[in-house]
This record gives sequence, structure tokens and C-alpha cells, in this order.
Amino acid sequence: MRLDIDHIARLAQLELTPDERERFGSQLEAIVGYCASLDAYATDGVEPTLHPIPHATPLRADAVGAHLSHEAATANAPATDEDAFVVPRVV
Amino acid sequence: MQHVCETPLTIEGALAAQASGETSALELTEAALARAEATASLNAWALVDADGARAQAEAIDMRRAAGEPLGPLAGVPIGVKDQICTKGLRTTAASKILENFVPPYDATVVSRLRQADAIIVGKLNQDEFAMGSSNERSLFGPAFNPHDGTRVPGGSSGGSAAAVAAGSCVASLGTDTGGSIRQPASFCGVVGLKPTYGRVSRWGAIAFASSLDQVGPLGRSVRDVAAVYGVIAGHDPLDSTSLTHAVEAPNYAVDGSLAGLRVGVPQEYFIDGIEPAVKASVDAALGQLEQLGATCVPVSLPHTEAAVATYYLLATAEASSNLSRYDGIRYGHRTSESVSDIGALYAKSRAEGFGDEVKRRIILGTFVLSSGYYDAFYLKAQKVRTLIRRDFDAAFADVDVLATPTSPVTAFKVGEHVTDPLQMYLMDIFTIPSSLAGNTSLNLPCGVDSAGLPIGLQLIAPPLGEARLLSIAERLERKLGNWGGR
Repeated sequence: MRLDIDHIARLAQLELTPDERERFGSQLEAIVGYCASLDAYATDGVEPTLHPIPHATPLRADAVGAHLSHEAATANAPATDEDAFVVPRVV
Repeated sequence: MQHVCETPLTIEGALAAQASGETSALELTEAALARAEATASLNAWALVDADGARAQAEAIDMRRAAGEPLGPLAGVPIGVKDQICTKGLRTTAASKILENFVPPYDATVVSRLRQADAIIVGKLNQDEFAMGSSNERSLFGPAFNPHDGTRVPGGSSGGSAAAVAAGSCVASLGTDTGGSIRQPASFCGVVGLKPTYGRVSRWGAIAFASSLDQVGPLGRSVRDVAAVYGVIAGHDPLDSTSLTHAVEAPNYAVDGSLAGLRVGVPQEYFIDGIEPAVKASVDAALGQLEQLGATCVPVSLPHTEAAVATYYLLATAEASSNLSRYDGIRYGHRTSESVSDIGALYAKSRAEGFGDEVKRRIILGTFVLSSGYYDAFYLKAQKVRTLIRRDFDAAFADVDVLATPTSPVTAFKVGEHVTDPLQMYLMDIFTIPSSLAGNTSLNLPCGVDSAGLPIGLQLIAPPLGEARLLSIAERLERKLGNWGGR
């Protein structure tokens, strides 16, 4: 199977070097080829496992709990302006 | 060069020695720090917080002197995998993209260790974002095996296993997605427990594959691992997948036999690629179980062969989604190149911040989830996961636990398997199935090969069977006795 590596890299928001394109392309073809071996298993009518342990999601009260301050939440950001994250122009 | 600690301290021993006044939390901490320095060539630690650890120890000693009650891990030096957030202590997941990340909060498991008065010595080396089986792919460079410094400690929690074996902490936390606690525990000759999915909070553990990730303890003995497990397990309202069931304690019957115990031996796990010494040692451990009164019976897990492909489809799909949060905006690495738009900022920051294996898995996972391939790969894998889970359900209808090798091989040489990712993935063939099924499993050291490298027995129990699993493992551990400096 040929993978459109450029399309996948765009979806993943990941810039690849020419060497990575070449290398990942052939490695992924081998891995995907191996994974296609699952076709040998009949799964008609089999439910997918979305969660390994069946368990109802517990709900909590809709109340404000402990949370980070703006200062703590922005402390690791590469660029901030007061309590905002700075990004390149988007519009 | 060997760096295995020949005089390991147990948690029980550490608590007793402090209670009798024979030693102090500070002395235990100083000993761990000295050991970390003496074994620095193992590269097990990503960060040693010497000052912080001393301050914690002094506080414990003062509270003890004042007669205050202390927690169940008081003064015990513990290391934490760098995948797990520690407030104020740099946490990188061994990735350049988080090189300077200082978490504003503790993971729930770390809060619980602190509440139990454990000493957090520092952060442990690992494969980047827990993706690997050898701890060779790390921001900090490879970690090495204390039994042979030319070999890998296993992965991804390689530092967590190596530090415990080397004695630079008494116990540690790792994370296990497809074997990342059990396999390095096997390679380094220590005990490592993967709890049932949902048993231990994942809040503050950096996400890799959310339907598989579990935090768990590594230690020199089953009792030590059980003690740490008892502290970190239990419901956490901050993790929506956290189970609400009560945590049961193991029962260590002093002379208990294992009469009536049925041990399943999956025939699919004794394959051609398994090293003869591994098979011999596991067979001998099965013989010891029978001497204790257990009955070993062959069982079949017919979808075992599908597990590695299933795992790599599901884990990479989940990883590609989880790792989309690293955008160079709110935290983490941002490119210094000038970019004209936000898309280029994402793509360049991520290209610079992620390592080779992480990129490969993001690309595979993105492909698996992409339009036109989702049904054929992702959905198919989720259905095969159901078949794998049913295999275990059927086996546990007849037996109490399963016994298998943890790894088909002993620790391999650094660099031996880095060039072929598929070959490296196949190393995890014995640990992946029980991760997919969500049940609990552990590694128990059961022997060494002719080069003195540790061999591990994997015991697998049904979901929430930790107490029984630990009780059985502890009984077998006493029967197996000491070997190879353990």
C-alpha cells in the first residue's frame, strides 16, 4: 500500500524533512502491511472495545472547584501578554 | 560494569529502622542520593532533586521527633518517572518539546505519595512520551542496565527499573501502556505491577494512549510494590476513567500453600522466538508453583498473535490525538524561526520538538484515523481488541491467574534493535495482550540466564484482582528465594 505521507503530515501538523518523508514512508508501509494481517480475523457482529473496563462515567456536581490562577496557567507559555497567549497573526 | 545494589533496603526495613531510631529519613535520603551519584553512569535519573529531597526528609524527621503520626511511606526515597507531573519540578516526558516544562500541579499519584510522607528523590529517565521498549530514545540519552552497562534497561520506564535495581531509590513509579513497567522490571530484575485499567488515577500522568495507560509501582520485592500500590490506588474524581471499587490489601499467609490455585499457561506464549534460558527459567517457576500446591493447566488465548498489530493501531491513533496538544503556544517548545501563520508555527514547533519514534507514531496514528482508513484499521483493531479480551474472559472462567514469560528475551545490547521499529514492537508480544484486555499483571524475577541477566515471570489476573495477584506473587517470591544478587 502507498501512503500519501504529505497528506498525513499536513493532517498531523508536522513538518517533515525529505529524509523523514523517505524513511517514515517505507517504514510505515511495512508496519501498515503487518497491521493489515488483522483482516484474517472475522469480526462481523463483534462490538468494538471503546473502554476496556465497562464502567459508567461518574458525574460530579456542577460546582467550581480548585483551579489554576491565570499566572500559573500561563507560566509555561513561550510568549504571553499579561494573561493572554501570544500567537502569530491568524486573520 | 555492574551497578546492582547488593544490600537492598525494603520499605518495611526502612520504616522499622526509622521507628527504632537506628536511622532517619535524612540518612535514608542521603544514602539514596549517594547511590544515585555512584551509579550516575546508568543515566537512570532525568533530574535529582537533592535539596528538595533533603528538605522533605528533614520535615519528616522533625515530625517524628515531635511525636506526630506519619504516613505509610514515611521517609522512603521514591523516584517518579518523568512522564508524571510533579509540581515545581521539571517534567519533560523525556521530550525536547517539554524540555522546560514545570508543572503547576502534582499528579494525583504524586500527591498521594506526598500525603503518605514518601520522599520524592527526583524524576526518572524513560523513552520519549513512553514510546519505546529500551529507554534509548530520550531527551537525556539512553539509560543503561545495572546488570550490564552495555545493555538496555528495557522501556519505556527504563530509569524507574534501573534506579530501583541500583538502589538509588527504594521504589519508583512507572507507567505502562503496552508493557512499559513489566518489561523493564524483567530486564532489571525487579518487581513491577501494572494495575487494572482505571485502578490508579491517570490525572497528571502525561497521556500517551488513554484507553491503555496505567501508572504503577516498581520495587525490589512484591511487598514493597504492594505498599506503594496501596497508597496510589483508588478512586480519583479528577480522572473520569477512575474506578470506584474499594482497594483490597493482599494477604500474606506466612506458611500458606497455594493448594487449589489454578494457574493457566497460555500455549501461544511459548513460541519459537523465546530464548531457551527464558523458557527454562519460567518452566522452573511453574514447577515451584506446583510444589506450593497450585495446579498448572494449559490454556489457549487464540488471538495472541493479533495483539501487537491491534496495539500499534490503537495506541498510535490515541497518541496522535493526545499529542496534538503540543502546539508551541500554551506550553512547550516553540520554534524560533520566523513564521507567517499559525499553521506553520504548529508544524515547525512540533517538527523541532518531537523525536523520531514519536513522529513515526503520530504519522501512523493520524493515518489510522484518517478519512477512508478509519473503518479498515482503527475500527477493525477495536473489534479485534474485543476478541482478545474475550480470550482472557474465557481463560479466567477456568483458572485464577495466567503465568507467562514477561519478555521473550533478556536485556539486549544498546543499539541492537534501534533501526527496525517493527522488530522492536514485536518485543512487547507477551505484555501487550493483557494491556489491551485491561486486566492486571506483574513481573516477578524468576532467574538469570548464563550471562547473569534477569529473567521475569509475568503473572496475569482478572480486572481488579490485584490483592490476589500480589498475594500469590509474594508466596512464590519467598519460594524462589534469592538469586543473582537480588
